[in-house]
Amino acid sequence: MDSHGIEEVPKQGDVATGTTILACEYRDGVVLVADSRTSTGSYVANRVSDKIVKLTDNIYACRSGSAADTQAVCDYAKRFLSDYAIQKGRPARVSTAAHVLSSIVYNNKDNLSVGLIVAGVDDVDGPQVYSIPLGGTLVRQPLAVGGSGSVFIYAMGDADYTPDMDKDAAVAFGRRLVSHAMARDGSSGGVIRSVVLTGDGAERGFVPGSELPFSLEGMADGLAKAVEEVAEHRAAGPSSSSSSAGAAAAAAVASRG
Amino acid sequence: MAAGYDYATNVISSEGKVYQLEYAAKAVESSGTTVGVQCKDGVILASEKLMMSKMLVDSTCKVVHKVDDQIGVAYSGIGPDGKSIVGLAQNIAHKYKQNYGERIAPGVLAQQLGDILYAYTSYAAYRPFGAHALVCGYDEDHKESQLYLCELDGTVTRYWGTAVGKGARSARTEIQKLKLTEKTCAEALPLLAKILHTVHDPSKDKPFVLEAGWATDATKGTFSRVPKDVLAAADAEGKAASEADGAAHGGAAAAAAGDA
Repeated sequence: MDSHGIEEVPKQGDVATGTTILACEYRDGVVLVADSRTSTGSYVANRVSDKIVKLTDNIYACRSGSAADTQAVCDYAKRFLSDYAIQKGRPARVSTAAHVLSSIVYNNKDNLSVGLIVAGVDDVDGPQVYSIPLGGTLVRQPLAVGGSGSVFIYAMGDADYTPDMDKDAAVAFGRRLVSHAMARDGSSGGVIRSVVLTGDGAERGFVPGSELPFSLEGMADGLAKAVEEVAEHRAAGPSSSSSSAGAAAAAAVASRG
Repeated sequence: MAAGYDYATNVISSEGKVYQLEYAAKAVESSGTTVGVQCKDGVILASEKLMMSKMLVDSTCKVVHKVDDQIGVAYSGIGPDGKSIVGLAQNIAHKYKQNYGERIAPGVLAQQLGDILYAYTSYAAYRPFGAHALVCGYDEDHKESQLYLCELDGTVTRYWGTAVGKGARSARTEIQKLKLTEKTCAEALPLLAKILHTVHDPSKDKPFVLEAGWATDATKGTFSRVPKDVLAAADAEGKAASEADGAAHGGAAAAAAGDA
């Protein structure tokens, strides 16, 4: 790789978190959501990994890219932020944490493949989400998606995100997006982990792989069921309005999405 | 007395002294006085900049420097050493802003500067700095202005008011009398000018130029050099007050001599 290029493919043998991660601001805080697949090529090295890491009591980050690099970078950031808190006599703010991470990534960009989303709440700027993609750019966004699975859900996020969601709506929104990415992205999968931050502590959440809000298996089941329903209606005879039954079945299929 | 214990900074003498540091401090004691005070509405640095030649331009060899938006540093001691310290301080402030995306607090800058000054006292390949630095600035967390003294041995202390340089001793006692934390920066400036004129002895010392900078509530904690006209007025007022005092004392001394 040349010194200014961006490495898209991890080195051979690299353990990469081919990932779907996301964080968004909502009315009272932020929510972070992630899948749990860690892979080495096509081999799933860990199917229940935790990609949401605690930086301080009120700041968390979602990791994507090389598992080793992101762990090391976050460990450094954790240390710098705890030093900061000791020196200043108060916890670091979210923007500070984001700057610390982005400068580590930027200053070592040739040797790292790290994509992070930092989110948290502080008493000065409230709930905030920052995206730090590969080169170390720092961008504040109300909704940030990342990882290989994110390409499948950008438009869904654009369409469905609103900043005035309450906690339950925000968590459901995040999980719905991540489950869709997990369905289409081969290197995302497993379970869904989430963290909600409101300023007084974190609340972790978990959805097992068997209870995802969306899955292709679920979609196939839905389809099969709809086809069955259409067949039943047809069998019931020509007297019943088969066209309306077809519409109902089609609606049933659509609603499973 | 020093018996060879004074050649290096990495040697402590049998009396527990690092002689090189004491010699370095002597360089400060023979240079122009710098005072710093915390007032009701801000913090001031003021310096007696000795002019080695009548042909020097007043603004040359500044000793009061802006280091960041809200931080100023002034020094007393060997000129190039002081300038180097200012450069270090500017570096620290810049790096901090790059890494954390926010301004450095004056206390944090003073501590980090002290760490560097200390490092220069503990390696055989280096010599200590021949200058003390006064750091002042606005602390955004505590919503107040602060003053720190970074000594050449690495000591960092916070003061309500202090002085370094040739006239430091008497300047400190004068500052203590003034209760400047109850006065505004504008009120304090002529008083500091007076102190610098009083500790200055025109018969022995080179002539001097008054330099000053402040971070006040009026400038929202932004450090700036005191505007020329304000400084000139304070300088004149301070000089007159000092001369009036001197005349009174001189008169008393003459009267005493007359009595004898």
